[in-house]
Amino acid sequence: MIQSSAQRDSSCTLFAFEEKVLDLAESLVSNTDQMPDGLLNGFKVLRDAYNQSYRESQRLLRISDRLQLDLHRANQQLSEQTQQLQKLNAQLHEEIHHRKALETELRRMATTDELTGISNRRHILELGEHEIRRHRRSQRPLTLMLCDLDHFKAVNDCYGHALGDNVLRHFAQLFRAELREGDIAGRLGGEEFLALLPETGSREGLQAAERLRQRLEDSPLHSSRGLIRITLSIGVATHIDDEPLNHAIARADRSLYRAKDAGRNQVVLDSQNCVTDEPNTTTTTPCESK
Amino acid sequence: MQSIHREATKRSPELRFDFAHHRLSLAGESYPEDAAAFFGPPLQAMADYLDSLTEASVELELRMTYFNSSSAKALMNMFQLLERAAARGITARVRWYYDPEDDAMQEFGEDFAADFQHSAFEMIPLPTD
Repeated sequence: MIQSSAQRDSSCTLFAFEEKVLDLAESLVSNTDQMPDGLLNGFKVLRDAYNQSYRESQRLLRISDRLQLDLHRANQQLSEQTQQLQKLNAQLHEEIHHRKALETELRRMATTDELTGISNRRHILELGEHEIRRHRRSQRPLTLMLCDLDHFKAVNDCYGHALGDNVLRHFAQLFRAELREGDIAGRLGGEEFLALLPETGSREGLQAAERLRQRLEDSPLHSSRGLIRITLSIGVATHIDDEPLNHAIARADRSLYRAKDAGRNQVVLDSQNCVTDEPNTTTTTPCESK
Repeated sequence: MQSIHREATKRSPELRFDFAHHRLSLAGESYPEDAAAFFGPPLQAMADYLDSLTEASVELELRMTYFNSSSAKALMNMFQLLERAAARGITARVRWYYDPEDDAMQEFGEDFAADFQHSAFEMIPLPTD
């Protein structure tokens, strides 16, 4: 209910002007002597119309204020919710970023040998399976190199495990550097390493193995205990037909033992493989017929 | 004449009517619980103040970010008071500050400006961050 100007403090209104106009109209109407009848009737019509229009304005103002209040509150709520959502979104992004980093780190840990930084056993075997499948499709040769550091136990016993670890890291570095871009290198465990050389036949495989052997022989490790000379025996096997990966590895392993038996620091090709154009090297035993 | 100063609340703007220096200002959101009670007395004081002037330069500075219909009515009452004072020789100027990204406040300012005949109405965009 709207209070009349007489009912409330006269200064507490937004319609002081309108009230004044109405008061003036009222005083004019009550003083009928001042106007002829026709004009008075017309004046009353105008006064009533102004009065009605004034009431309507007040009502519209109340309605608008009420509706605007609801809208404004809803708007404020939405703004707060938007801010909240943006905050949550930022947190979510951070969480995703964190998880991705964690995932990357876990994947790295799952595939990398912690000590040497090259592929671990599981990963190199996985890559090996993949390479075998590719090799079957392409019909291109694939050669395996199984490497074992000679007398590594003695290095560990003599210099301690920390230096032993340095020797492994030293070799892994040479190993990786000596291989080509597409070659795959990993540590099977202990002092045993495996390389898969795609698009490589027995002869090239033997040459690569010999280079690696020579490289290690020529590159002693500089340590706090002086130069540590270490040598390497390598068994080489070229993948045959449809044999599974573990068969090829087993053949490379047999060649490795033969290299060890023959005095270590040498490269031996598996007897089932053959080098037609025999390379000029003393460390190989190609074309054996055992 | 006594100056009027009211700090802003959640629903009402900051109001500073410094009659001694002829500077009046309103800033913030305006949807008071009782607009007549909030604006009535300052409007009355402003009317009395303007009536008392014979020669002066009056400035009304507005930095509104939101207002409801009753507040718009109160603003229009102020504009009317200034117009009437300006019609009899008082220099009056309204400065309407608005955020350039707030289309509504810009449009309202332009709408109010259309009724000004005797006093100046200046639209001033606020600098953006």
